[in-house]
Amino acid sequence: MIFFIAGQLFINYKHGVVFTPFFHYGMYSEVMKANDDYAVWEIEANNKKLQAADFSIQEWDKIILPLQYYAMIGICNGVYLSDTKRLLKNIGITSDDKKFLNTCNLGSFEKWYIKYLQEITGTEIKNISIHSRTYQLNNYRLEPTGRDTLLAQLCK
Amino acid sequence: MGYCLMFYLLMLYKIWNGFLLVQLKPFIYNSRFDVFTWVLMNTGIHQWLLNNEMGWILFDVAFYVLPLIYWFLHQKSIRLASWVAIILLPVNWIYISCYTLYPANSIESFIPWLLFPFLLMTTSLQSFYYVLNGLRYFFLFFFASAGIWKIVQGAVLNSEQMTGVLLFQHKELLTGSVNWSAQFIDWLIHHPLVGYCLYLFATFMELIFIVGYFTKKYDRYLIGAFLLFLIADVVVMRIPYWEVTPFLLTLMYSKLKLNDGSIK
Repeated sequence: MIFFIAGQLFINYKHGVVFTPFFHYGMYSEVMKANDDYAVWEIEANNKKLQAADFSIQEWDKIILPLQYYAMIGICNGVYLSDTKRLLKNIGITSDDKKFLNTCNLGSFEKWYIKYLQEITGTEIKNISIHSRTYQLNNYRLEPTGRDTLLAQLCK
Repeated sequence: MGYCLMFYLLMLYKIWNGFLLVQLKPFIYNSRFDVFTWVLMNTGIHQWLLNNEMGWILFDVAFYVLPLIYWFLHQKSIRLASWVAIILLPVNWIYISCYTLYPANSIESFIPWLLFPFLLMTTSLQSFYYVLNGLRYFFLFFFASAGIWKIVQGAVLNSEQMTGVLLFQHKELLTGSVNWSAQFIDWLIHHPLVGYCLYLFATFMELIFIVGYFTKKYDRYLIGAFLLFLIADVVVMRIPYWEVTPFLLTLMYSKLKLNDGSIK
């Protein structure tokens, strides 16, 4: 019991790296203001844009999360090289780069994603277009701009 | 028994929504800033599971069958069942740590699944009682600390907070075709004061869990607050957080007392 209390207090005090099962349970506790613009995922399957409203919460999570993960590969790799490797070394663990670094292979990701999406939507997908479009906040309404970024450009 | 019942209800929920490993078919992973996860990743187990159907089946079977074995053995011998719980601990930790590296869910919601094996390991009523109470305090901390963080980081003083949260969380929903959920969220965004009051109310609801550190008298109200929080999380935030429900058991059985070596 004392170990658990001490562990949790230490993690809260450090407020950075965590150690399972001691986490920060912030639940949107960082200050968030309305931004000027937002990057929004747009997926077109068979030339039709997928709408969040047409799917359950869980289905939509399954559609969006892989894209977010793919776009985050570069950032995760960067964090590993700048911090994780060093911190593990500090506690006497030599990390194997191959076990941490991920590669941006758009071809194989799209192949997997189409198959995955077919199972969620229950329809055969003949073509797909995935991009992140910038929307501008105007009087609390999100309006599309002409700026969009392809998935291939997001994962570097 | 209660834990097994909740565990298997959650398993059905996962099957229904296609969230078993074998249904998720993980192909990609991200890391997180967690030392335990890094140590696990250094073994390469998370990569072994990518595109590995047999691996997914093996992991799902181990994870979902062990509590059933525990429950059967518990009827015959508590000591034997506790051995199963000892195996359950690393199985749960490895499964959940890997599972949450894939696009599925955040690890924080699985915290009861990581900690309950400690309760199942106990072989005496006395240790069961103390571990159950320890888990109750952890659960209280889980919510209370979320409220405290909101104060410490200044989010409760930001009148735009809920508007910012809703726009960030629901941007895809808000830019597509409209349903009742999108209309409701859009209405909240257009009424920032109402949204802000809702955020303050959620913070208050989290903070009232502090009461549980001083008395068990109001635990039934905390159960109500917890359920309300879970439902509001789905309706307002579109975040299904049902994995934390086993923690309910710590409040439901908190009135049990240890008397002369028996629990009453």
